Amino acid sequence: MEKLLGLLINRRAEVLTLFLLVIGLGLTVTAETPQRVKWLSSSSKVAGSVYQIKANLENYFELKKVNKRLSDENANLRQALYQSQFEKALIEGTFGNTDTLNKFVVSPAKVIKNSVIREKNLITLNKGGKEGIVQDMGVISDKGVVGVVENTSDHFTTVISLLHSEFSINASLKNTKHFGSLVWDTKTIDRCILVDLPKISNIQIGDTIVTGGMSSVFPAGIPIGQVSAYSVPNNSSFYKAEVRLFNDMSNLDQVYVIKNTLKEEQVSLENPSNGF
Amino acid sequence: MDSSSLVPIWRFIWVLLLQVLVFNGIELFGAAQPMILVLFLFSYPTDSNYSLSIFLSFLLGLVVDSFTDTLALNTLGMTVAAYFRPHFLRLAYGISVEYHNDSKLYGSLGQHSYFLFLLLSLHHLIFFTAETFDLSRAFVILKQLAVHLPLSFLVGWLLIQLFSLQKR
Repeated sequence: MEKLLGLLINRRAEVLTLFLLVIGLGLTVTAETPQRVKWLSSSSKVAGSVYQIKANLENYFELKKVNKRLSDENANLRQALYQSQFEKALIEGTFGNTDTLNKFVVSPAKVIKNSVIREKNLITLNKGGKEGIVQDMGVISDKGVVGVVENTSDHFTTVISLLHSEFSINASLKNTKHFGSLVWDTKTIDRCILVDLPKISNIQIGDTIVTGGMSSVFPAGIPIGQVSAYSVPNNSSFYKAEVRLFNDMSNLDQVYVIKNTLKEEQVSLENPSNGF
Repeated sequence: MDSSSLVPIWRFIWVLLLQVLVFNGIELFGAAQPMILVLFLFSYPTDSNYSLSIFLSFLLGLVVDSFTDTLALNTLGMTVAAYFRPHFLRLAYGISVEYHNDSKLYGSLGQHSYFLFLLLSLHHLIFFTAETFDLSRAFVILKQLAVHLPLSFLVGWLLIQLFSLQKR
């Protein structure tokens, strides 16, 4: 016992290093699980507050640019809103009945921390659980899809970016509605890969890719990007297409968190374990 | 409390703020980010407690990881780099470094650069190996090293010159 104690004291640096490395490895492994250690995340209170202060300072010096961007965005949104209401009224004759539009509730948030150089990039927003944000909500910007909510604290949210090696969403060709899965191959920050797109879809370079609406996270038709190249892997019945993203993922500021008010109903109906 | 004993704490805060508030916002060409945490180890007084340097490095890595959502990658990199720091000191400055009782490093520009390079290389190697978590993807690890290491070295070297963290 005395010898062991002596050895531990003599080798205290080695013992300490080993102990700390075990803790570090433990944190790396547990942080990969959905029960991610909350304080080891930029949505924690301290980290979130620091990024908020930094973002406030930066925003102050960029107010003019931001105003211009917001007013442009407002104009585009109004145009899209009037267009959709008009079309809806024409087709259904139900102008003013907005039940279907109200399925998705949109709330604005600001990006206070962003990363694009990792394989698993995360984004931090300045809104959290107190504003009604919960896990698995969709996040978009004025240009298109940004990611999905991963974790929230009271006032901050971390979002799994489109540029995350384990992220995948249902996406479709805007013209033909054929769908596949959009993933990121970690190679470039302005492109993703659309896989499992049926050969019958007759894809063309320049085709627009939008959300497929087959998940409960995003409404259908949110822009993602444009096809910049495609191929058919050997003996496959599916296309593999390279999609140039509309969003500049390295320059995100104003985003919108989308809440599907009928998500629970949709998920419980789609879930095979619901007894039907 | 002796003011010199506070030096590691000030350096800790200084490096933390620089990394979190300045360099985490820089992603050059969407690919490279200067990771200068090891400047803490570079500037850690040579006559201070070795075990404390390991613990503070672990802590610094952990705090930065909590800001950058990098799991515990900096924590692992900094802990290992702190453990090997005395070996790197001897490699870069020779045996004599153990016998002088000044807290600052004396050496030529080449020696300082070599010491910084060794610390950065080990930190980055551990960081990207742990991030990739798959040795069969060694090419990805090497690519990440090739992209990040020169930038971190350049920024680290400039900061050392700017803040005179060493003596000639």
